[in-house]
This record gives sequence, structure tokens and C-alpha cells, in this order.
Amino acid sequence: MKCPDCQVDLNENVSRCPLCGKLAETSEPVIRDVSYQDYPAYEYRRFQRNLSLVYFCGSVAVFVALALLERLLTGRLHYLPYLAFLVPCVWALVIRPRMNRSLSPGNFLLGALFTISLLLFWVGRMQRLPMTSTLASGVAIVTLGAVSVLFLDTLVHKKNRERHLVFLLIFLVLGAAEFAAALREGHAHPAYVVLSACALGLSLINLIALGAFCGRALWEELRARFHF
Amino acid sequence: MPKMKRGSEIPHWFPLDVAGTIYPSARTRNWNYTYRSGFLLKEEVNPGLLRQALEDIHSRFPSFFVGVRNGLFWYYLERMENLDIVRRESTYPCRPMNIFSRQSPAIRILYDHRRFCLEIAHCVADGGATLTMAKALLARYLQLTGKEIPPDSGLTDLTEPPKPEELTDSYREFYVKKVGKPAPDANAWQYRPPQVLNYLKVIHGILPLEDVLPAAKARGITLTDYLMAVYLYAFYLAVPKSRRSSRQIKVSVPISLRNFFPTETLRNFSLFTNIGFDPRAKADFSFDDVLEAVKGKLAAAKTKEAMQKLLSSNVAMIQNPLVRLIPNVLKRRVLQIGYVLAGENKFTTPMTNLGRVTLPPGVAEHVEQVEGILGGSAQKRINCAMISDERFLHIYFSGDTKRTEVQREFFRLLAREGIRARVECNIREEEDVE
Repeated sequence: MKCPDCQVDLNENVSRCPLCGKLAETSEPVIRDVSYQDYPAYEYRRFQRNLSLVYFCGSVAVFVALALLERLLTGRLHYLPYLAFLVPCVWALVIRPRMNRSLSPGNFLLGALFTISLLLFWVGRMQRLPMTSTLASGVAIVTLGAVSVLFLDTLVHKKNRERHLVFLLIFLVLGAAEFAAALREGHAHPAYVVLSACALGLSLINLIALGAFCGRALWEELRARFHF
Repeated sequence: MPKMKRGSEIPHWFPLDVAGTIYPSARTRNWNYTYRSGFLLKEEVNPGLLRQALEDIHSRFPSFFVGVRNGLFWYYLERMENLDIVRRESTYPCRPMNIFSRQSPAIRILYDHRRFCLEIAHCVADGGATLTMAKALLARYLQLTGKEIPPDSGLTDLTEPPKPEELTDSYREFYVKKVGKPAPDANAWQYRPPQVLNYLKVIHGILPLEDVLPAAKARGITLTDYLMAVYLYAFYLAVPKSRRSSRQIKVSVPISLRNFFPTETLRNFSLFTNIGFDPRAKADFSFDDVLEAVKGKLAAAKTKEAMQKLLSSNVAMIQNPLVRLIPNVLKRRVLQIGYVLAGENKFTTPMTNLGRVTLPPGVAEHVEQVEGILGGSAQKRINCAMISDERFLHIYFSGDTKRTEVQREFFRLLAREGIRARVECNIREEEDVE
């Protein structure tokens, strides 16, 4: 087959020229001794549009609705800055990783930590409780829970061990900060001190366990993650 | 086949090379830079033996079986042992791959009847390096099918362990401080036909070298210069004046730095130069005018001094302490914008000539055609790759648009020059999207 306009040889099984769309004519090929590649047939699948805009608009809508609700109930917009912080946190730590299929438990735990802490902060303000204690206790509880989950996951899933390293470091820093804050606050509730000590201790145990399980691989992972 | 000690002295992770740094950052949700290199054999491909051949060569080429990971300051490559990457070809070529996957490396091997090919993310290696690996895979596969390959075939020796030099980042190796900056490049005219997502139309042209080489010789220029002029003129003819802006039409040509710097690296080691002409210079351009405009420009750009300047400016940018300090999550956005402003905006279309693929005796007899396809691009709707074997030049136009006006003018111009051509498309008319 041949295209009368483009003057090129065409495959025997096509009726139109792929270059100009003209009907192909039967003719002797000018190039011989070479076979066609015959690409496999495939079914075109429409591209699934990115839903990030939908998620983003949804987040903004939630933010606006909560702000309006607060304005309606209290006549003020006192918690707007916290909400403004909460929405991007949930977006960055929970929604976006999920969209990218990076379903690491660490992402969800960090997201949960920020969300619960902010909610506690909000509730504390509404109930007129001392802010630092409420927030710090909440963060300590969540940190403890998150580190426990990571610890269990480290024991069960061998593949996830090295991936937990970064999250574990974040929780370690958080645990240390909470413990330091609890010690500094002279009249802190003993439960709060115990909780933050447990969070810090479990983070350390987790890190040591990870080091024992992974050995040199953990050091390599650290080097890779932080290479400059 | 003797087995080398797996993993001995081969690092578990590598920093991305200087050129590779940009690709993971520049990726979008529906695109990452993937390209294909492959062979059409004379016999049907046996997938079992292909898998076996891959098992046999993989320890010799550790830098190819990697996935991209997210570090605090930079992305990096992590070695992966999963070799379940041989698949029957069932979709369009160079489909974007998940380079961050923990399940499979940023490379896949596809087969279909007599053809097999490697599709690889550009952040891992460039075309020259991939071709080296593809040849080794081909030779091993043929050996497994019972073909005799002479020991002195010049292909990579699979019994040797990988050399450390093959894993080095040669950009950094040959970086020289204070060699001057390359001349700034003006923005080019952009060809923007409607894009179709999840789609790649490949138009494969076969031209006999006995027609093309004399045509280039008669004009007194190299084959690459000649085809570049044809390609540029095809854009000039295909797009009406009213749709052209007042900018130059430019082609981006990759240049392998292996010809200028002594290296054995099997990672990226190439740079790009943009060559074109200004359609405003004359009311009407003829093909001869375009030939005259581009003649010698590529040779002038392909000097060691020019390449050294370009290489050093790229490395200096990456090694800037301020750039290094920015966390990756922010740096990625900056690089993504930089990739468009300082890279993609400077040329109209890419055109890569992989050159003549010479296969050793014992291998060449079993190969009918060679293949090299550029995947879709974030900004460019049409890309061109060329590769030749002993008798034919294969031209692969690929793009995520249905429009074929440039390709049409390209082949019509060749026909007017007296060059025979045969054309094939990966999408049959009944399969094409509405």
C-alpha cells in the first residue's frame, strides 16, 4: 500500500495514511526486505483527572463552614488561625500522601497527631482549661500511641522497618520536647510527666530495636535520606 | 554462567547524577521522562528465556535496577532486587512509570511477538548507557536460545563484577571551576496542538541509508544536520504564519559527553544544545535557506570547550550551598518551574540521534530492526528519536496529540528530496480516540 500524497509505503493492513488520513492505494512497496513492527493493539483508557482540586475545594469549604459556625455560635472568629493551620496539615499529611499511594502508617500517625492536638487545643480553649497542659497531654498521648503502632509495625513488617526511620526521629524529637516541657512546668500533673516519659522512652526503644533489626542498613538509610 | 558476589562493594543507594536530578522534580501526575530502546528479532521472543537473561545480567548492571526515593535535601536512587519486570506489551509505548514504587524498579522490559524492549526512566540512565545494557541483554538472551556468540564480541563481559567507574556521576567528576558561563539562550516558539492524556502516537519511518546518506552528502552536511534541517522546515511548513509567534523555531539535540570526556559511566552523561532558525529573517524560507541557517551550528556547539562550560554551569548550580540547603519538598517546586523556564521554553521540540547501532557478529544476524522512542513530554507534543542499523535509518516521532501535520511535512519533504520511506503507526485508525 502507498499514500498517493505523502509518497510513503504503508502497511498492508491499513486503509488510510497515518500522516494525512488519505485513502491508501494498492501499490508495490519501494522498500523491500523489511518487516513491519506491528505494534500491539490496545484499548484507549481515558485519563482519570486529578482530584486534588476537588479535595482542595472540599478542605476550603470545611474551613469556611467551621468559621461560619463559630461566628454564628459565638459571634467571634477566635479559632480561625487554628483552623487555618489544621486544614493544610490534614491536607499535607493525610490526603496528599493517600493520593500519591504512599500509604505509610507514619504519614497517618503524624496527621492524626496534628489533628487531635489541634482539636484538643480548641476544646481546651472552649472549656477554659490551661492551654499548655491540655495540649501537651494530648500530644503526649498521641505520640505514645503513634510510637506504639510504629513499634508493632516494625516487629511485624520487615519491609517497613527502614521506612519508619524518619517518622520515628520526628516522634523522638516530639517526645523529648514534651518531656522537657513537663519537667520544666513545676506543677505539671504526674500523669502528664509519666505519659511524656513513656513516649520518649518508647521512641528510644523503638530506635534501638530498629538499629538491632536493620544494622548497617539503618545507617545507610540515614545517610541516604539526609545526604546533602 | 558464573555468578558474581551479589551486592559486594556496590552501594545500596546512589545520589542522582546532575542531569538526573531534574527529572523526578519535573514529573507531573501524568508524565515522567521515560524512553524506550529495543530490538525486533527474526524469531518470536521467549519470555521465560528473557526473564532468565535478565536474571543473569542484572548483577552486572546494578545502577539500572533502582527506584527513586525522597530524601530531606535531594531525591536519591535505591537499588531494588525485584526482577519481576518482564511483561507482554499491552499498551502504548513509554507509558509513565511510578519511579517511586517500592515494588518494582524504574525500568521495565516488554515483549510482543518478535520484539523486546527496555523502557526506563531518564533519571536512571541516558540512551547511550541503556543501549549498552540492552545489547548485553540481547546477547545473553540469544545465548540462552542456543545461538553462538563469539567471546570477543566487544559486549559487556557478564563474568566481571561491575566497575566502580560505571556507577560514578561523571558530571561531578569532570566539573571544572571558573571556565565561564555558556551564552544565554532565547526562548523558542512553542508548538501546542491539543493534548490527549493517556496516549502516545508513534509514527515510525524507515529510510534506506543508501538514500539518506548521499542526500546529506550532496548538500555538504552531516546526516544529523540534514535531518535537523528537514525537521525544522517541516515545522515551518506545517504551521501557518498566523499561528507562529515571533520566536525562533529550535530543535534540542542531546550530545553524548562520552565523546569528549574519558568515562565508563552507565548513568546519565549527556547535555543538550538548541539549534534553530529565525522565521522572521525572511518573508519566505526555502529548504535551502534552512539548511544554510543550521549548517555547522551543531559542530560549533559540539566542542569540548562549549561542553565543559555547559557541564560546569549545571554542576555549579547543583553544588550551590543555598540550593543544597533548601529542603527537597520546596526545591522540587523550584526545579519544576526552572525546568520549564530554563529548559523546555528554550526549544520547540527535542530530536535525538542515537546513531548507528553496531551489533557484533553472532548477534546482528538475529536482529532485524533497532528501536528507540522518546516518551511523552510535559510541554512538547511531539518528540523525535532516530536510530540506525546497518541498512536503515529508523525515525520515531512520538507525541501525545492526534495531530500529524509536522510528521506529514517531514516525510513529504523527504519524498521531494528523492528519499524512499515507509511509515507505520502504533495506533490503527479504528483504535484512535475520537
